[in-house]
Amino acid sequence: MSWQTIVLNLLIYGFLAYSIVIISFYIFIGIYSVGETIKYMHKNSFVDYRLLAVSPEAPAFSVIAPAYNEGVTIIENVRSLLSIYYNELELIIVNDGSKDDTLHKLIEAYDLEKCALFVNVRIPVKPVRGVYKSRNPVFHKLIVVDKENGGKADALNAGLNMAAHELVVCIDVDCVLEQDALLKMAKPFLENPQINMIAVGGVVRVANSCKIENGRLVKVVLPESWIARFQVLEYMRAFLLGRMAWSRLNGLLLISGAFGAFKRQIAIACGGYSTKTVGEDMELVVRMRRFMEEKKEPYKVAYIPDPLCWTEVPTDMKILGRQRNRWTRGTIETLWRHKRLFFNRRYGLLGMLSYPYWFFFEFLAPLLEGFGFILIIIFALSGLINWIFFLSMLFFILSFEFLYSAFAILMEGLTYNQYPGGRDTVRLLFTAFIEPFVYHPLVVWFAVRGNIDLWRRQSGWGEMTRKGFQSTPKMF
Amino acid sequence: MQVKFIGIHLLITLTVIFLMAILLIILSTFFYLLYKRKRSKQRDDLQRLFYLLIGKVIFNETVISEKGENNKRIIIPRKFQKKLKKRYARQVMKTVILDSKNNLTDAYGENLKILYNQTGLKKDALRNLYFDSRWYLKADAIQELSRMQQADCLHHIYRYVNHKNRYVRMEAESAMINLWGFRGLRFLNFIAYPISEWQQIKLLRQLAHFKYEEFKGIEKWLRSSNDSVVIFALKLVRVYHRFELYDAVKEVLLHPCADVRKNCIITLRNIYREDTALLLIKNYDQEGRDCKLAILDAMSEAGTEDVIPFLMEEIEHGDDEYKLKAANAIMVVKRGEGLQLLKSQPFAGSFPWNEIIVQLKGEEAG
Repeated sequence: MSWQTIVLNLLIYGFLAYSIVIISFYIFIGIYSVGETIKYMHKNSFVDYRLLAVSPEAPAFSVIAPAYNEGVTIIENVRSLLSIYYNELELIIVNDGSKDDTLHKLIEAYDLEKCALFVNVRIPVKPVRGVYKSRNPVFHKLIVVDKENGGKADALNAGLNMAAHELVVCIDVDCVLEQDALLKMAKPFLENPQINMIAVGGVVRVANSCKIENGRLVKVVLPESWIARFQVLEYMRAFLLGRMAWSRLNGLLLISGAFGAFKRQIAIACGGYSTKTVGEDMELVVRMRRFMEEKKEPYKVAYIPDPLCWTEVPTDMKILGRQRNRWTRGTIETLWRHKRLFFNRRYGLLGMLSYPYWFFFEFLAPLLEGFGFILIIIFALSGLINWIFFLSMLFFILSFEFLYSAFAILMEGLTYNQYPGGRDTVRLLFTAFIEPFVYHPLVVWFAVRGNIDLWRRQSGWGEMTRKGFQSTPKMF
Repeated sequence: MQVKFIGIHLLITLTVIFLMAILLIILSTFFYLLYKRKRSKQRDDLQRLFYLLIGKVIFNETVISEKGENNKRIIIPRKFQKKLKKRYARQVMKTVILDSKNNLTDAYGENLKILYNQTGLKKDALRNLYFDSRWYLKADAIQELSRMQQADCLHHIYRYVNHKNRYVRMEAESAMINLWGFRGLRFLNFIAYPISEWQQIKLLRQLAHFKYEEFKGIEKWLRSSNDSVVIFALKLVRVYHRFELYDAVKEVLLHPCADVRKNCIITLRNIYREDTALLLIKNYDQEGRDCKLAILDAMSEAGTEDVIPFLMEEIEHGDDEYKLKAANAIMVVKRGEGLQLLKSQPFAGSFPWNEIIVQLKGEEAG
């Protein structure tokens, strides 16, 4: 056997082994999530969430929403957030040095006045220029913090400094929340007296094409745009299967920056959001978990599968590319910063399973896929490829991709059934069928570009064009 | 080449399995959608029919009394009886009765209870409670019996208060209160598992629906070995203003669990006496952050001139949260003179005091 054949076989069987391992993981995740979903649905059938809304013993929430150049939509967005069904609530809008008229519009619309309020700066942030409250008692829940621009993480930290309550919810200001979103988010924090619930993540769903009136979601519609529809599938797989399974294992590493609740004290004790990464949402969760592991205190990061938060996803390739590029950089930065966790027994499941999973299957997968694609071209050109083997491998992977999406569609139908029509199901299945050929290669390319950009030290969020309520939740 | 053959063979086999699974999933998805649509139509039809019956039942149109008012019977037309033999129809009937019960006063609800018994739904619930091993059916049965005010089932339900499944015992605890009011609290005497905060909120909410009656046992619960029972007892003391239990609550300040002590501080703040402030600061140095902050908060309610020296020490604490809370307490205790006292301190002009004082000034003026 020549050395070329040995190298070739090593590569081919290396890829085969990797594919089988990753597929086995996905099968495990899919099956394992079912149990958790069923348990949640049963559990939920006994719960009357309204009792929290009227109880004086209910925990209070501080909702933090950073805003940067949101002048076009800010009034509507804040109105939507103020209408959330929860009594003990303060809404902190952090104007992160917007260059447009965001602050001016808020002052006018909500009759705000600057007030002398001492801010206990427990996390260092860019200077706060002023704190505003409304003269109108109707808006007594609203606090607007105006500060110098420091990025999303810095704005969230300013909100954490300002928050008066122990439970904080960090959201994207342009998200549309379900009316009972906070009632549902509060429950996990109150459920288990023996385990410290440090964070709770909520589902983020795609709002494109949905009917929204007065900041409320009125009708769920499957997006018309193909790019948005591909993302509907991605979100279904990620939230309904992936996160459910990781929640059951208590191994969640990511709570979407678009909608997540935290224990303020622990978030502050960990130093708040990191301003040195573009993946501040994932990084904070990893740091909080690490903090608890090092303290050797029992804790949990939970996840709620109910559709609670709706957001508009990019429908433009350029914006999608930037978003995925940023997610990739955020993942790598987080993994690098917490490399100590890698197969470190001291950190239990976090070190032995969650972190390695993210390293091998979230960070490495697109790189290997990109590398494999180049290899196929080289082998094909040099006549080294065994076409029968190649095609078998291709069909094997494609059939699994479709199977996994079809399973997510089935689970959606069995649980929340947001797209109940048979026509929508057909459209979703067709989307799942073409996704590996049309959308997936692009996502891989964006991730590879993210790696390259990080290597070339290009940081930053990039401009996000807002069309109504566009947002950037992270998935997987 | 043999290795390659095995690889290809494996891949083809797995692909075929995946394709079969895809087919199965797609068929299941569509079958389920059809089934759901059919069920939804069936449910709507049944609901319409059952609401008609319930309307008649509520207004006594189909109720006959046998041997006095306490022996009522409902005439259920044959077509309903026939339908109610089917499991799904019984489920719909159950939902309809429960919904109607929720929306009616007790007087009208009595007939619904008779209907509930007569249709055998009560028997179904008891069967699920006793013989079904699935926790959610047990919990559902308890909730149903409780909502239907089946007080005679209390002896069936109370033993589930210590059930190994959290949700079953939560429903049993709620049912105890729902069916027995304040007397139902006696489950706290023998509960072995912790009561979650959620459940405590729920129980307090349920109690709020009952006319207050003096209930006994709090002293015992305050000494419980179950920390959550102690916390719940403290909440009962403060919600129902049980001032006479001050001495019993005071003893809880030495409880080994910090969370219990924090709740004790909050309760003492609600039922304070003249000596409360000094009592709270007695063990202040040994407390953790949460309890210390709770004590400083309590000073705004229970504080007296005697604690001013203590508060003056705390305003020099390294943590600004302590400073702010202590300053707030001084403002309350010194009434009108607090701001002057703070301004007269040597550090008053430096950060963060300059900002805190501006805020306090604004609050005083507002």
